[in-house]
Amino acid sequence: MALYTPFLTVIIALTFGQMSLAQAISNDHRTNRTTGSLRFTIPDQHGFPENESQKHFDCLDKIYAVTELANLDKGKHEIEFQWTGPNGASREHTKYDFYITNKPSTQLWAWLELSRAKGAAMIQWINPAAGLEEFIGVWEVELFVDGKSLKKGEFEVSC
Amino acid sequence: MNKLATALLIPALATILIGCSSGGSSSTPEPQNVSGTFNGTWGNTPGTQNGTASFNLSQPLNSSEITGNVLFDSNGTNTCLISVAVTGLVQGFGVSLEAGNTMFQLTLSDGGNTLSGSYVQGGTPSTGCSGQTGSGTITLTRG
Repeated sequence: MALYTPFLTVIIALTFGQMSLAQAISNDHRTNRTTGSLRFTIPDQHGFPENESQKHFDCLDKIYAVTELANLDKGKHEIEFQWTGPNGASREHTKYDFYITNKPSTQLWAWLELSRAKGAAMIQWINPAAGLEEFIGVWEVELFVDGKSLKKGEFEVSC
Repeated sequence: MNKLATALLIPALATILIGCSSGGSSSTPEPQNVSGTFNGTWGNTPGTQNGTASFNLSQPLNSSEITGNVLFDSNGTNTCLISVAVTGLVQGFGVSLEAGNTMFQLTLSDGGNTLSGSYVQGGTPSTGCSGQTGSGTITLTRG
Protein backbone atom coordinates (compact mmCIF):
# COMPACT_ATOMS: atom_id res chain seq x y z
CA MET A 1 0.00 0.00 0.00
CA ALA A 2 2.90 2.31 0.88
CA LEU A 3 4.22 1.82 -2.65
CA TYR A 4 0.90 2.68 -4.25
CA THR A 5 0.29 5.89 -2.31
CA PRO A 6 2.78 8.19 -4.16
CA PHE A 7 1.70 6.69 -7.49
CA LEU A 8 -1.94 7.34 -6.67
CA THR A 9 -1.13 10.91 -5.62
CA VAL A 10 0.59 11.60 -8.96
CA ILE A 11 -2.34 10.15 -10.92
CA ILE A 12 -4.82 12.32 -8.98
CA ALA A 13 -2.68 15.42 -9.40
CA LEU A 14 -2.28 14.80 -13.12
CA THR A 15 -5.99 14.15 -13.57
CA PHE A 16 -7.07 17.28 -11.79
CA GLY A 17 -4.18 19.21 -13.34
CA GLN A 18 -5.32 18.18 -16.83
CA MET A 19 -8.89 19.23 -16.05
CA SER A 20 -7.75 22.63 -14.85
CA LEU A 21 -5.55 23.06 -17.91
CA ALA A 22 -8.41 22.10 -20.22
CA GLN A 23 -10.71 24.55 -18.47
CA ALA A 24 -8.14 27.31 -18.72
CA ILE A 25 -7.63 26.67 -22.45
CA SER A 26 -11.38 26.69 -22.98
CA ASN A 27 -11.77 29.98 -21.10
CA ASP A 28 -8.89 31.58 -22.98
CA HIS A 29 -10.49 30.61 -26.24
CA ARG A 30 -13.73 32.32 -25.25
CA THR A 31 -12.16 35.53 -23.97
CA ASN A 32 -9.53 36.03 -26.65
CA ARG A 33 -12.04 37.22 -29.22
CA THR A 34 -13.16 40.34 -27.38
CA THR A 35 -10.61 43.11 -27.08
CA GLY A 36 -10.93 46.38 -25.22
CA SER A 37 -9.12 49.44 -23.97
CA LEU A 38 -9.59 51.28 -20.70
CA ARG A 39 -8.90 54.96 -20.12
CA PHE A 40 -9.98 57.70 -17.73
CA THR A 41 -11.26 61.17 -18.44
CA ILE A 42 -13.85 63.79 -17.50
CA PRO A 43 -17.19 64.50 -19.22
CA ASP A 44 -17.83 67.20 -21.79
CA GLN A 45 -20.79 69.59 -21.51
CA HIS A 46 -23.23 66.90 -22.65
CA GLY A 47 -21.85 64.09 -20.54
CA PHE A 48 -19.85 62.39 -23.27
CA PRO A 49 -16.33 61.32 -22.33
CA GLU A 50 -13.69 63.85 -23.38
CA ASN A 51 -11.24 62.53 -25.98
CA GLU A 52 -8.23 63.45 -23.89
CA SER A 53 -7.34 60.86 -21.26
CA GLN A 54 -6.25 61.74 -17.75
CA LYS A 55 -4.44 59.93 -14.97
CA HIS A 56 -4.90 62.55 -12.24
CA PHE A 57 -8.23 63.94 -11.04
CA ASP A 58 -9.44 66.46 -8.54
CA CYS A 59 -11.51 64.96 -5.72
CA LEU A 60 -14.62 66.78 -6.97
CA ASP A 61 -14.28 65.64 -10.60
CA LYS A 62 -16.75 63.28 -12.18
CA ILE A 63 -14.33 60.51 -13.17
CA TYR A 64 -15.15 58.57 -16.31
CA ALA A 65 -13.82 55.09 -17.08
CA VAL A 66 -14.17 54.57 -20.82
CA THR A 67 -13.72 51.44 -22.85
CA GLU A 68 -13.70 50.74 -26.57
CA LEU A 69 -14.73 47.12 -27.08
CA ALA A 70 -14.21 45.24 -30.31
CA ASN A 71 -14.82 41.79 -31.79
CA LEU A 72 -18.03 41.25 -29.92
CA ASP A 73 -20.59 38.73 -31.07
CA LYS A 74 -24.05 39.98 -31.93
CA GLY A 75 -26.52 39.88 -29.06
CA LYS A 76 -26.71 40.72 -25.40
CA HIS A 77 -23.59 41.30 -23.32
CA GLU A 78 -22.85 42.48 -19.81
CA ILE A 79 -20.23 45.00 -18.78
CA GLU A 80 -18.98 45.66 -15.28
CA PHE A 81 -16.59 48.27 -13.92
CA GLN A 82 -15.20 47.44 -10.46
CA TRP A 83 -13.82 50.46 -8.63
CA THR A 84 -11.26 49.73 -5.91
CA GLY A 85 -10.36 52.60 -3.58
CA PRO A 86 -6.92 53.67 -2.39
CA ASN A 87 -7.18 51.46 0.69
CA GLY A 88 -7.45 48.39 -1.54
CA ALA A 89 -11.08 47.68 -0.75
CA SER A 90 -13.70 47.28 -3.46
CA ARG A 91 -15.66 50.53 -3.33
CA GLU A 92 -18.18 50.58 -6.17
CA HIS A 93 -19.26 48.60 -9.17
CA THR A 94 -21.22 49.63 -12.25
CA LYS A 95 -22.87 46.81 -14.12
CA TYR A 96 -25.25 46.94 -17.07
CA ASP A 97 -26.29 45.07 -20.18
CA PHE A 98 -25.51 46.23 -23.67
CA TYR A 99 -26.37 44.89 -27.09
CA ILE A 100 -24.40 44.44 -30.26
CA THR A 101 -26.46 44.65 -33.43
CA ASN A 102 -24.55 45.56 -36.59
CA LYS A 103 -21.24 47.07 -35.53
CA PRO A 104 -19.03 44.58 -33.63
CA SER A 105 -17.45 47.41 -31.62
CA THR A 106 -18.79 49.95 -29.16
CA GLN A 107 -17.75 52.66 -26.72
CA LEU A 108 -19.11 52.34 -23.20
CA TRP A 109 -18.42 54.16 -19.99
CA ALA A 110 -19.19 54.48 -16.32
CA TRP A 111 -18.41 57.23 -13.86
CA LEU A 112 -17.49 57.76 -10.26
CA GLU A 113 -18.52 60.69 -8.12
CA LEU A 114 -17.14 61.42 -4.68
CA SER A 115 -19.10 63.29 -2.05
CA ARG A 116 -17.69 65.01 0.98
CA ALA A 117 -18.70 63.83 4.44
CA LYS A 118 -21.42 65.85 6.13
CA GLY A 119 -19.94 68.54 8.31
CA ALA A 120 -16.65 68.51 6.47
CA ALA A 121 -17.73 71.20 4.03
CA MET A 122 -17.34 73.76 6.81
CA ILE A 123 -13.63 73.12 7.09
CA GLN A 124 -12.71 72.57 3.47
CA TRP A 125 -11.15 76.05 3.41
CA ILE A 126 -8.63 74.72 5.93
CA ASN A 127 -8.25 71.29 4.38
CA PRO A 128 -9.52 70.78 0.79
CA ALA A 129 -9.51 67.02 1.36
CA ALA A 130 -11.67 67.23 4.48
CA GLY A 131 -14.28 64.48 4.45
CA LEU A 132 -12.71 62.90 1.39
CA GLU A 133 -9.57 61.54 3.01
CA GLU A 134 -10.37 57.90 2.28
CA PHE A 135 -10.66 58.66 -1.45
CA ILE A 136 -7.31 60.39 -1.84
CA GLY A 137 -4.76 58.21 -3.61
CA VAL A 138 -4.58 55.66 -6.39
CA TRP A 139 -7.76 53.94 -7.50
CA GLU A 140 -7.93 50.80 -9.62
CA VAL A 141 -10.68 49.91 -12.08
CA GLU A 142 -11.12 46.40 -13.41
CA LEU A 143 -13.25 45.93 -16.49
CA PHE A 144 -15.28 42.76 -16.95
CA VAL A 145 -17.18 41.78 -20.08
CA ASP A 146 -19.59 38.88 -19.81
CA GLY A 147 -18.11 38.06 -16.41
CA LYS A 148 -14.51 37.83 -17.61
CA SER A 149 -11.80 40.25 -16.65
CA LEU A 150 -10.64 42.16 -19.71
CA LYS A 151 -8.60 45.13 -18.55
CA LYS A 152 -7.28 46.95 -15.49
CA GLY A 153 -6.31 50.58 -15.10
CA GLU A 154 -5.36 53.12 -12.46
CA PHE A 155 -5.93 56.79 -11.77
CA GLU A 156 -5.08 59.09 -8.91
CA VAL A 157 -7.34 61.40 -6.93
CA SER A 158 -6.06 64.43 -5.05
CA CYS A 159 -7.55 67.63 -3.67
CA MET B 1 -5.32 88.15 24.08
CA ASN B 2 -7.99 88.16 21.44
CA LYS B 3 -5.49 87.02 18.83
CA LEU B 4 -4.33 84.20 21.08
CA ALA B 5 -7.89 83.09 21.71
CA THR B 6 -8.65 83.10 17.98
CA ALA B 7 -5.46 81.20 17.20
CA LEU B 8 -6.43 78.52 19.70
CA LEU B 9 -10.12 78.48 18.88
CA ILE B 10 -9.89 77.89 15.11
CA PRO B 11 -7.75 74.72 15.26
CA ALA B 12 -9.88 73.44 18.15
CA LEU B 13 -13.07 74.04 16.19
CA ALA B 14 -11.59 72.42 13.10
CA THR B 15 -10.56 69.38 15.14
CA ILE B 16 -14.06 69.06 16.56
CA LEU B 17 -15.66 69.35 13.11
CA ILE B 18 -13.27 66.80 11.61
CA GLY B 19 -14.06 64.49 14.47
CA CYS B 20 -17.78 64.94 14.02
CA SER B 21 -17.82 64.38 10.27
CA SER B 22 -18.50 60.86 9.11
CA GLY B 23 -16.85 59.32 6.05
CA GLY B 24 -17.53 60.61 2.57
CA SER B 25 -19.43 58.64 0.01
CA SER B 26 -18.93 57.52 -3.58
CA SER B 27 -21.45 56.63 -6.25
CA THR B 28 -21.47 55.04 -9.69
CA PRO B 29 -24.88 55.33 -11.38
CA GLU B 30 -26.16 52.80 -13.89
CA PRO B 31 -27.96 53.55 -17.17
CA GLN B 32 -31.74 53.72 -17.19
CA ASN B 33 -34.34 52.73 -19.76
CA VAL B 34 -35.08 55.72 -22.01
CA SER B 35 -38.79 55.02 -22.51
CA GLY B 36 -40.87 58.13 -21.98
CA THR B 37 -41.32 61.68 -23.13
CA PHE B 38 -38.44 64.12 -23.18
CA ASN B 39 -38.94 67.82 -23.81
CA GLY B 40 -36.36 70.48 -24.36
CA THR B 41 -34.65 72.88 -26.68
CA TRP B 42 -32.28 72.71 -29.62
CA GLY B 43 -30.11 75.29 -31.30
CA ASN B 44 -27.80 75.20 -34.28
CA THR B 45 -24.10 75.79 -33.90
CA PRO B 46 -23.96 79.35 -35.27
CA GLY B 47 -26.93 80.23 -33.07
CA THR B 48 -29.15 81.36 -35.95
CA GLN B 49 -31.83 78.71 -35.50
CA ASN B 50 -33.45 77.29 -32.40
CA GLY B 51 -36.66 75.84 -31.08
CA THR B 52 -38.24 73.25 -28.88
CA ALA B 53 -38.41 69.49 -29.29
CA SER B 54 -40.46 66.69 -27.83
CA PHE B 55 -39.19 63.12 -28.07
CA ASN B 56 -41.63 60.30 -27.34
CA LEU B 57 -39.43 57.22 -27.03
CA SER B 58 -40.02 53.54 -26.40
CA GLN B 59 -37.30 51.05 -25.45
CA PRO B 60 -38.58 47.53 -24.79
CA LEU B 61 -37.10 45.68 -21.82
CA ASN B 62 -34.05 43.59 -22.72
CA SER B 63 -33.55 45.55 -25.89
CA SER B 64 -31.25 48.35 -26.97
CA GLU B 65 -33.49 49.48 -29.81
CA ILE B 66 -35.57 52.64 -29.60
CA THR B 67 -38.61 53.65 -31.60
CA GLY B 68 -40.83 56.66 -31.31
CA ASN B 69 -41.71 60.07 -32.62
CA VAL B 70 -40.08 63.45 -32.48
CA LEU B 71 -41.94 66.72 -32.73
CA PHE B 72 -39.91 69.82 -33.48
CA ASP B 73 -41.10 73.38 -33.22
CA SER B 74 -38.60 75.62 -34.88
CA ASN B 75 -40.39 78.92 -34.41
CA GLY B 76 -40.36 79.23 -38.17
CA THR B 77 -36.57 79.43 -38.26
CA ASN B 78 -35.94 76.01 -39.74
CA THR B 79 -37.98 73.97 -42.18
CA CYS B 80 -35.74 70.94 -41.76
CA LEU B 81 -36.66 69.77 -38.28
CA ILE B 82 -40.27 68.59 -38.26
CA SER B 83 -42.46 65.85 -36.81
CA VAL B 84 -40.93 62.54 -37.78
CA ALA B 85 -40.57 58.94 -36.66
CA VAL B 86 -37.41 58.14 -34.78
CA THR B 87 -35.37 54.97 -34.46
CA GLY B 88 -32.23 54.45 -32.46
CA LEU B 89 -29.95 52.49 -30.24
CA VAL B 90 -28.95 52.65 -26.57
CA GLN B 91 -25.44 51.60 -25.57
CA GLY B 92 -24.99 52.13 -21.86
CA PHE B 93 -25.18 55.87 -21.29
CA GLY B 94 -24.93 56.64 -25.01
CA VAL B 95 -28.03 57.07 -27.16
CA SER B 96 -27.92 57.43 -30.95
CA LEU B 97 -31.12 58.41 -32.74
CA GLU B 98 -32.09 58.90 -36.34
CA ALA B 99 -35.08 61.12 -37.10
CA GLY B 100 -35.63 61.72 -40.77
CA ASN B 101 -32.38 63.08 -42.11
CA THR B 102 -31.12 64.11 -38.69
CA MET B 103 -28.73 62.03 -36.60
CA PHE B 104 -28.50 62.59 -32.85
CA GLN B 105 -25.67 61.52 -30.53
CA LEU B 106 -26.94 61.90 -26.98
CA THR B 107 -26.03 60.91 -23.45
CA LEU B 108 -28.40 59.77 -20.76
CA SER B 109 -27.63 61.33 -17.41
CA ASP B 110 -29.18 62.63 -14.20
CA GLY B 111 -30.64 59.23 -13.31
CA GLY B 112 -32.13 58.76 -16.78
CA ASN B 113 -33.89 62.12 -16.71
CA THR B 114 -31.73 64.10 -19.12
CA LEU B 115 -30.86 63.48 -22.75
CA SER B 116 -28.25 65.85 -24.09
CA GLY B 117 -25.91 66.00 -27.04
CA SER B 118 -25.53 67.05 -30.62
CA TYR B 119 -27.26 66.57 -33.94
CA VAL B 120 -26.11 66.51 -37.53
CA GLN B 121 -28.36 66.94 -40.53
CA GLY B 122 -27.51 64.85 -43.53
CA GLY B 123 -30.31 65.87 -45.82
CA THR B 124 -30.30 67.63 -49.14
CA PRO B 125 -32.46 70.54 -50.31
CA SER B 126 -34.79 68.03 -51.92
CA THR B 127 -35.84 66.86 -48.45
CA GLY B 128 -37.14 70.31 -47.66
CA CYS B 129 -34.20 71.35 -45.52
CA SER B 130 -33.68 74.76 -47.00
CA GLY B 131 -31.35 76.98 -45.06
CA GLN B 132 -30.00 74.14 -42.93
CA THR B 133 -26.74 74.72 -41.16
CA GLY B 134 -25.85 71.11 -40.52
CA SER B 135 -25.40 70.70 -36.80
CA GLY B 136 -26.27 71.89 -33.35
CA THR B 137 -26.93 70.87 -29.78
CA ILE B 138 -30.01 69.66 -27.97
CA THR B 139 -30.93 69.22 -24.30
CA LEU B 140 -34.04 67.37 -23.17
CA THR B 141 -35.46 66.50 -19.79
CA ARG B 142 -37.98 63.82 -18.95
CA GLY B 143 -41.41 65.41 -18.96
